[in-house]
Amino acid sequence: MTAVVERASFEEWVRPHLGAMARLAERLAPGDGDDVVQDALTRAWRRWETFDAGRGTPRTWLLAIVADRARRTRLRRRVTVPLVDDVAEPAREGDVALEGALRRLPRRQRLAVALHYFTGLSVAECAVVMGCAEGTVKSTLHDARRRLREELGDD
Amino acid sequence: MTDERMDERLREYAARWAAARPAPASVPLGRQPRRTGWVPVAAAASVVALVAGIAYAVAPRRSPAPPPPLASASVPPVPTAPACGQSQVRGEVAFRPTATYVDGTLDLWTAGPTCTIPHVPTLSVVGDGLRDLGVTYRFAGDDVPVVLTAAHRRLSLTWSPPFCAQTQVVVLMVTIRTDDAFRLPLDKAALPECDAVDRGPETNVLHAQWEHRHCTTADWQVVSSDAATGEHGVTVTAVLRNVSADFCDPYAKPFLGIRTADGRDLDLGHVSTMDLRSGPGVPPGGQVRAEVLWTAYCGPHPGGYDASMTVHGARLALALRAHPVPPCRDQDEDTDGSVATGWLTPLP
Repeated sequence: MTAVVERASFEEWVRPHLGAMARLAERLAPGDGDDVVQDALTRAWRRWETFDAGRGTPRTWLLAIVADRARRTRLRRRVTVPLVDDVAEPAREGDVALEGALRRLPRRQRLAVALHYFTGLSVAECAVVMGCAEGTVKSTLHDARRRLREELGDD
Repeated sequence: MTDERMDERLREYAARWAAARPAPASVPLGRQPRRTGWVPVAAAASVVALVAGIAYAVAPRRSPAPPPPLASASVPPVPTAPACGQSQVRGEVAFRPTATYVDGTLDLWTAGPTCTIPHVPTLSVVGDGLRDLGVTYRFAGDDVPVVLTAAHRRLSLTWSPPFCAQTQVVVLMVTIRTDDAFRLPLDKAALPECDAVDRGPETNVLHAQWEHRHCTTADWQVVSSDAATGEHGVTVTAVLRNVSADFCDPYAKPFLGIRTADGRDLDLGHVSTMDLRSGPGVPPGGQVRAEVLWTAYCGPHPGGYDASMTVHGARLALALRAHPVPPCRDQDEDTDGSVATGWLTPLP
C-alpha cells in the first residue's frame, strides 16, 4: 500500500513538469534526451525525500537534476553529435546555422539559453537551477546572445 | 543584429523547436521500456520498474576508450563484505515522545564479522496479533547496500503524527532481507494517549535517516589517487578510508586547486552544487571515492599543472601533465574557462 500511495503521489508531483524536463534534456543532450529524463526520474524518485520547498520549486529541483544528469551523460558517452540533424522541421532559413551556433556555446551559456528560451523559465528560476545570482544569469544570457550574433553575423 | 533582435529570434526558434516535439505526457503510460527510449513515469515510479530503471540507467551502452592515465597510483580493489547471516544482526530501538510526534533511534550492528545487508532495512509497526498498523515508512536517502560492523549504526526515526497507544503490544518490525526480519518491542509508554483527534493509520509516517558526523582530516587516510584525461577534461580521483570509529558524512564536496607551471592559480569557475545525494554515511573502515572533473575550456597552459585536492580537510598533491584545450576567447565565461565539478561516492 505504501509503495502504491507514494508512486501515485510521485506521478502527480512530476507530471506537470515532464514537458520542461524533456525539452531541457533534449537541448542539453541531443539524441539522448529520453535516457536523460529516465535517469533523472529515477534519481528524483530516489531522492524525493531531499526536496526542500524552501530552496526552490519542484520544477527547478527536477530541472536541476535533468541538467546534472545531462552533463554526466554527455561526459560519460563522449558522443559527437551532428549539428544539423535536429532542427525544427521544416527548417527555416538560418535555423541550421542557429542550431549549430547554439551547440557551440560554452556549457553555462548553453544551459542558460536552454532553461530560459527552450524551457520557459524566468531569470529567477534559471538562477535557482544554475545555482547562481539572477544577475549572473542575465549576463550569461547576454554573453550567449552576443556570441550567437557574432557567429551568425548580421543576417 | 541587435541584442533585442537576437532575443526575439531565439524565442521564435525555441517555439518552433518545441512545437516539433510531442509532449512526453502524450506517451501512453505502461509502455514497455525500450533500449533508447522513454520509460513512462508510472513504470519508473513503481518499485519493480525502479529497479529495472536503475539497472537500465547504469547499464553500459557505449564504451568509450578509456583515457590514458597521467599521474596514477593504482586503486586497490575494495573488499566486499559478505551478506549478513540471519542471526548475526542485532538491533535496539528507543522512542521518546514529544507533543506532536515521536522521536526515536534504531541501532543496528553485527554480533559477528563485518557484513552487508542488501538495502536499507524496511520498518513497519505492528500491533496486537502482528496486525499492521499501516504506518507509512519513508527513508530519506539512498536505498543502497549497507555495511554493518560491530559499531552501532544509528538510524534516527521520526514517527509523525504518532499512532496513539490503543494497542496492547506494539512491535517495530525490521526487515533486513525478504526472508529475514526481527522484532523490536516498543515501550508502550512511548506512545501518546489516544485523544479526540483523528489519527488514523493512513496519516502515520515513520521517517528514517542514517546518523553520521562530519569527519575531519584526522579521520581520513588517503588510500590512492589518480588523474585521467579525457575529451572533456581531467578527472582527479582519490580514495579515502575512514579511520575513525564513527560513521562519517560522505556528502561534503571535494575541492580542487590548480596551479599552472608558471605559478598562476587558475580560477575554477565553480564547484557544482548539483550533488543531491543524501544516503548512508561511510562506516568505520569504509572507503569513499572523491572525484573532481576539471573541465578546461580554453588554454593554453603549457608545462603542466600542480593540483591539490581537498576532501574533508584531507589534502593531497597531484602532478598533472598538460592536455590539449582550445584557445581562449574574450567571451569565455570563466577565468581560463575552467570549471571544476566535484562529487563523492561511497564505495561498497
